[in-house]
Amino acid sequence: MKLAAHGISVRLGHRDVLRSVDTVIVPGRITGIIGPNGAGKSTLIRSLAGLVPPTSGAIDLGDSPLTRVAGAARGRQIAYLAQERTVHWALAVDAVVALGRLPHRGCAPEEDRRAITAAMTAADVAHLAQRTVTHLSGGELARVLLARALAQEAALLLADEPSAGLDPEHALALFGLLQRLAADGRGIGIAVHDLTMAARFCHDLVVLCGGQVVASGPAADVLRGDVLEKVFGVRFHVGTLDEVPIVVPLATLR
Amino acid sequence: MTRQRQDDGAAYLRLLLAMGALLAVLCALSLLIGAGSIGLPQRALWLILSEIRLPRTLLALLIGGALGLSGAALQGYLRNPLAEPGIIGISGGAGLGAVIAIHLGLTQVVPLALPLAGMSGALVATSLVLLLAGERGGPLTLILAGVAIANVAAALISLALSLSANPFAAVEIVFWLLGSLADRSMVHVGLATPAVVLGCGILLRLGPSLDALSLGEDVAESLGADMRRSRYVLVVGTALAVGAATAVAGTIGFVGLIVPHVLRPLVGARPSRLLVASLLGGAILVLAADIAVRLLAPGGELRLGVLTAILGTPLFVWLVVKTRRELAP
Repeated sequence: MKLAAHGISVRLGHRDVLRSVDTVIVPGRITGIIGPNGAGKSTLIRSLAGLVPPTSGAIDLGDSPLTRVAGAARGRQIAYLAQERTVHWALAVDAVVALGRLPHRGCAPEEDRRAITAAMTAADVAHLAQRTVTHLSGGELARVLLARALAQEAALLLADEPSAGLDPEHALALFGLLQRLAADGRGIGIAVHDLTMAARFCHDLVVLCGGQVVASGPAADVLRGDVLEKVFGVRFHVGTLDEVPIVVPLATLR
Repeated sequence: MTRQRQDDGAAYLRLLLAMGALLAVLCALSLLIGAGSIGLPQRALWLILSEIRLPRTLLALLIGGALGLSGAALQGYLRNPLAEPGIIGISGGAGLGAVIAIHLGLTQVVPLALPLAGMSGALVATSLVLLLAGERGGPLTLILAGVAIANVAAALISLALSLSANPFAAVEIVFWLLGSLADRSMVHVGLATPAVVLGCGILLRLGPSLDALSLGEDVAESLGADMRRSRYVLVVGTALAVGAATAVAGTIGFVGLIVPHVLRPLVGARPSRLLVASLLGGAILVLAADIAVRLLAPGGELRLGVLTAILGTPLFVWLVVKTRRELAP
């Protein structure tokens, strides 16, 4: 299942947050959306998830317009992981992960249990199953919410800065998991701030600035010093270390 | 983990069964307890049972269930443990409708003017809240609109009180506002039942949406919950259930606030399970309070609404202390 935005614009209040943006989330690939704060990354992710209808342009899920795919049917195709990690009640971890099965209501209980167990194992939270979410550390909570999204077993995963606030070990584990999910054939779209992680793990990148796409394409082509300088106003070192691509901010230009 | 999940479900069922059993015992007590049981002929006893205690018991079940359930639904939707039916202005509207009927003297002329005016008041308040809160806009606009309507209703009730030329009407207003189940007949039961049952049925359907809302509005939408529809369902369901309850019994405070609060830890904080548990819990609380009212003051000088408030306050203080202890480092 492919998710494609064709020239979408989004106006929130009196501000044009996105201006004729084209993006494609393809099965088997991780697409990273990068750009400075306020560039429209979150809005793009939310639009692709069907949460913010574009003011103009169209989003297609497979062959049909996304607006035609409603409610639970959309929930079975697209999983959305929000940037804020809020759980409003003192729920047990397994109850939170089970929320990912809501779009599948009516399916066999064994099927639900299998999906929940698989998601918890994948996100490495199986040992937390009986804990209360309010007592978890930030990193544990992030993984529990990721497990919730995985339990949805959707073909597409859209995540808004999933690695924010994670320590290096868990950030690497998270991106490793996303890589495995992509290898399994899922289409993944993420907003990322960490450019080194983006360079290393994303197949494609979309660079947003002021609500417009400044550059897009395979990660290695997009992550060039001149592109980044223009967008972020910062001089970067772009190189490799032990064959791992690295992008290090050096100094502000403005 | 799989076994644990099933145990979890079994514990919930056990809780519901225990609450159901307690409710059955309270129903029996409510039918048996009251003034004038000894030395009366069989027929008189039967009359007391069917004409006085039965409607009273049924109303306690209906009203308690409506208040508990709508409290749980509102807390779940607004994701705020301090929400209660009064906050979206519906009890205020029902109260105002009834007070206007008393003030204008309609209650002396038209039978059942009081509950009918109460229901109309709830309907008007609901329409205004929905109109004011607008098509889109989340829980916050609903609270703001509700608080505005509740305040207007409270102000107009005070106005009706101070304008009341007839002191008896003023006393009637004040007593009615205190909430009571005394002197209600099967006609009241017949009047309240359809709206309360329909309202509760509507509210119980909110379960999955409220569960999804635990993760915020965006994620809830992405899981297939329709937030706009949920809001209509919530407001209309509450208006029917609480509007009808307030219309026949006056305002009974604290039930909608305290019942979901106390039961939340017992259902693992799951909003959908809290709905059913609070329906039973509200019925238990109001029925028990009404029995207590009859035992403590057979003359009828203690009002049900006053007792729930008196009982609710220490319970609330205990909750504050408990929460403070949990939050302490």
